[in-house]
Amino acid sequence: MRTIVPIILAGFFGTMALATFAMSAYWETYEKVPDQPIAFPHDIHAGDLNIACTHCHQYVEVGKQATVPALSICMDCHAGMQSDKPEIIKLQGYWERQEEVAWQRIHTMPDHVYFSHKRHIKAGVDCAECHGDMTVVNTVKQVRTFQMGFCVSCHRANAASQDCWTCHK
Amino acid sequence: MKRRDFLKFVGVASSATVLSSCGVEKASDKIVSKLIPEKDIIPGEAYFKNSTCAECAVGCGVSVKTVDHNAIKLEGMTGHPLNDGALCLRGQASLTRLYHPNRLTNPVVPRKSDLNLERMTGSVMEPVSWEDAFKMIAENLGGASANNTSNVYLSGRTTGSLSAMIDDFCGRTGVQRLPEYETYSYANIRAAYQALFGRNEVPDYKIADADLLVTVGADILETFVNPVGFAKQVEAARSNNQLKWTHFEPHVSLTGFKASERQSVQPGGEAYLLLFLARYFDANSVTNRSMPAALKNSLPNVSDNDIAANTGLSVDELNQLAQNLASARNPLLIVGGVSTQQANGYEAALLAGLVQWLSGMVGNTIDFAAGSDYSKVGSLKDIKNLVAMLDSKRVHAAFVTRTDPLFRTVPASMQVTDKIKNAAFKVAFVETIDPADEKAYAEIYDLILPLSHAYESWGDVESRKGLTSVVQPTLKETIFDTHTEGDILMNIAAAVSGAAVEGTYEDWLKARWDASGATDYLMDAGYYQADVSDGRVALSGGAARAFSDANIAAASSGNTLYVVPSIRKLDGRSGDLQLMSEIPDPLSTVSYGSWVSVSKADADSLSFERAESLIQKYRDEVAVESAGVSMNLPAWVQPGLAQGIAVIQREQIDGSMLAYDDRTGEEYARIDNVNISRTGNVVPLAALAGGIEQGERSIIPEPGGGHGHHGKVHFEGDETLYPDPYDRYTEYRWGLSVDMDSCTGCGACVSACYIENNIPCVGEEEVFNGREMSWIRVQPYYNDQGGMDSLVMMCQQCDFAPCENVCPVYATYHNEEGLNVMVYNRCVGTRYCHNNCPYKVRRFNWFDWADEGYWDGPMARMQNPDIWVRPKGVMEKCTFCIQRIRVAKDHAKDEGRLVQDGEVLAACQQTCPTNAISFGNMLDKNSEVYTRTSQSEGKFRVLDILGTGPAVHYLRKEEEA
Repeated sequence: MRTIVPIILAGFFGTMALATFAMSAYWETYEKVPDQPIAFPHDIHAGDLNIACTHCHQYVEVGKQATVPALSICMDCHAGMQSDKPEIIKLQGYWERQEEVAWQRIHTMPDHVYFSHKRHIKAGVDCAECHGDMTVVNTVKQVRTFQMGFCVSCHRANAASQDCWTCHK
Repeated sequence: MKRRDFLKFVGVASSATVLSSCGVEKASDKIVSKLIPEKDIIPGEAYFKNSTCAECAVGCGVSVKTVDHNAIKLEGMTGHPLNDGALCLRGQASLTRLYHPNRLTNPVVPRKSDLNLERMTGSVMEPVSWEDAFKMIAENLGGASANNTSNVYLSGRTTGSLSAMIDDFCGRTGVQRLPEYETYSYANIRAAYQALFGRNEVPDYKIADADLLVTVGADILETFVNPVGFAKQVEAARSNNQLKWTHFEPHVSLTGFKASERQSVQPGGEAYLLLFLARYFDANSVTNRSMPAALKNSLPNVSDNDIAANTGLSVDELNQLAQNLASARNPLLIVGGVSTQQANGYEAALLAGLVQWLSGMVGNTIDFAAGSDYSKVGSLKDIKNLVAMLDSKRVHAAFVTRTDPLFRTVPASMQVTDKIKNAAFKVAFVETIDPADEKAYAEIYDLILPLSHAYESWGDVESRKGLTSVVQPTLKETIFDTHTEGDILMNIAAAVSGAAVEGTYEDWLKARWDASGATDYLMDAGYYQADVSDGRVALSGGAARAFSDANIAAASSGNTLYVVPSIRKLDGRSGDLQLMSEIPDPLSTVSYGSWVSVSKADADSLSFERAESLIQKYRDEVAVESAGVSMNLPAWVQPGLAQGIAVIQREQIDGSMLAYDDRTGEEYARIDNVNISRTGNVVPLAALAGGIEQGERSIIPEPGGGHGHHGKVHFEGDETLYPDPYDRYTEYRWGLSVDMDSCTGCGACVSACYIENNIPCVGEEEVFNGREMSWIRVQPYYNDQGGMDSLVMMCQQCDFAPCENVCPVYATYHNEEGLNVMVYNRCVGTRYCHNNCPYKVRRFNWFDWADEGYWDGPMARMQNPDIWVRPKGVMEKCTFCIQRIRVAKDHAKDEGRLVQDGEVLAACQQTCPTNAISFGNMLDKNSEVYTRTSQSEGKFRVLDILGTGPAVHYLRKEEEA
């Protein structure tokens, strides 16, 4: 028994150390922001220029999905504006080629989860509650876990429905 | 190491592993910026587009539920004159044809040289480009004039603009358009009306206006002319005119069981029955119409007693029937189905027409103005002509479209499959090709072109005269490299003339709509009703001549085999939809495979080993022999069948036994002098019902057993020691009721449920293992009085649900709205809930059906995004279409109110042709489900004695007691 205790302790701390390493490696990829086809600065658009979220995410108040804007919405301004910037030249290239832009998806929900942007916006939930303050970030990344605990804690705090089938499907 | 230490170690190590793997997995998928926002479409939200069902020639209007340009569900178009919101089981399932794994994806030329190889590997189909295909056809069309032969165009029933396009094409390219081929062409009925009134048509039977309906052989609830519309009309007549309905038939059909009264008539006795009626109406001057002397003299001279002997009914019974018809205000007689498809079927149709005229039905409940358009449909006589042309090598190029290209529906004696090879160049237009049939196709055809499905196409249908329904695409583009028939014809015509193609079929079609002023109606309402010509008809002077060679010869002795159309597959055309095999037949509950129905008396006299209906995989095999052809099939002992009668479904028989009427070209449904014997083997038959008799179980309680409480529903005032479950419901308590008197057992609800809820088909092997996945089923229960009740069984959402308290992980629970909810991703698959459910309505995923290939290819586009596709190891069940409740609540919440009655329609309820199912909030005393339930005197809940407290009520009239 005497010899076994240190082994167990060593085993325990060794494993935890290993886990910490593993997690640090994991967090790095977790934190890493995927490369987008066009670098879109949210801080300039939503922050400096104070453009409303719904100007681009036009279905967020009427549908389940917030959706990314159609290129024509970008081109409303950028047909002439900032045309010398490399990223805008990229954008205009897509438009001229009439090619759709495939962005890397940042936020996602599992298939068995029902989530409606409309319901949350109508309930007065601020976009920043889940997505962070977009007026200050240059590149979008996920700032919440979007795990069940995150959802439920907010539903509890705001006395929203906690029936399983409110969210599960 | 001690056991405890080992456990500690393992515990710590595993917790570390778990910790390191938590967090959200990175999404790798893409989110796409479109070029411009789409008009009127919100991404991810469902919208409806009007179109027309193409699964059969009836042409019911449909609203196609579409999400992100994927058609995910069909619903009958509300207000459509033919089907008003309802759809049959084949219509519901027809969406799977759009995404069918066997869709032909591009034009192909079969490599005929490969056919002789002993071991063929891979496909014999060589892809070609559309351009080459058109060129190939154009070159071959020219060959006809060179060797003095003709080119022919054979299609299934075609109406509306496509028919006009075919005429245009044939005119321009010198192709001869043949009369269309339909297995069920109503040739005798049309020929009889032609002889009597000069109208070669199937008229509109206005059942909704009738107060007495007498049907002879016509399976109006299954396949006859317009079954969905007829079921709707029967329901309307029952509630508005207290319809009494007597059905005469020699065999048994679902229609017979669902009529107010079912009467057996001897095979071939129908013509005698109708002769009696014709004579009665003439002799008693019931109306001011009477038979001209010539006609009267040409009627067969048969005594009343002979009539009675031949029909199996007594003279008193016949007189009673005639008196009832004479005294009814709006009587209606419909004769069809097996009664007109036999040796004296033409006579039966003639006499039926005569009775309808004499009794004043023609012009009242029978309307020739709005008849079904069968003007271009031929009969087997025309197929005979085609064979003669082929025999003498007078056909150069042959087009075959929208009919079985392998001619398996045509009686084998006509040898069309062989003779068609005499044509120099054969082209087929098809939607799907079963890989097993590739060789058969290759043996006949030189070119096969893929057709776009209706929901990828522009078009219209005018199945009833004057009523045009729109066909429009719901997908953004065709799934495969396919074209519509109209476009193909325009391209061929252009290739022949060497000119450029004049626009698309869509342009041509819309110009045609504009010219008739139909465009706005078609685009907004989905259908257009033009003025129809006068429907008045008079008895033709030559009517007597039709009777001169009439022969209503007596019924033959010996066993009789009836070959009837299948409610699931009609003549076999829906056989390639797997769902139509998976959903069991409503009378026998057989899902996959072929069978022959025999009577109990015959089963006894052949001393069957397995005559009991109890659940069993193996049944006695019988040999059915006729005209030197023998088939070995498992036997189903069908209650209600008379001795000596056997029934087989049309799609399960090859053409070898079939004969037809030389005079009219009608195929016979009755085969006489059939020998039925036991082979001594027992063979598997996939009959799903555990038992078709209730025995002592009292699933459907005896009427008048004190079950109903008038003015109350069961849960009100139930005295119990336990807390009243209704105290927990504040806003909603979802409840459902099924009207047993209205339900026709047709199975449309089952089909709708499969599509709505992403339920997979498991295939024959797993059905035998009892692993079918249907959330709702229609169970037939036969009683001693010769009747049959169809019990629609789905999750009963019990107040004291036995499944809930055995779940170890709280995956199934009762929510605040009375639903017995299942959280799919929480389920660990213990199946305790299934064991504890007395209704057998929970279904377990033994496999990942996506891995099994069910959702392969385009099928995944049919998935309803509002509900998960459950993986392996998860229990699933009906939750009253909870995803639809969610959508309705979402809308209601936007407007700050509760969900109103009628806002949520469960998929089963939505498609029901007779409105038998109502669903809604039981706390709302004005809701349809509450009022209907509380007013029903004979209502009951299944196995109520168990104290489960189901939320599903079955309604019926108390007077049955």
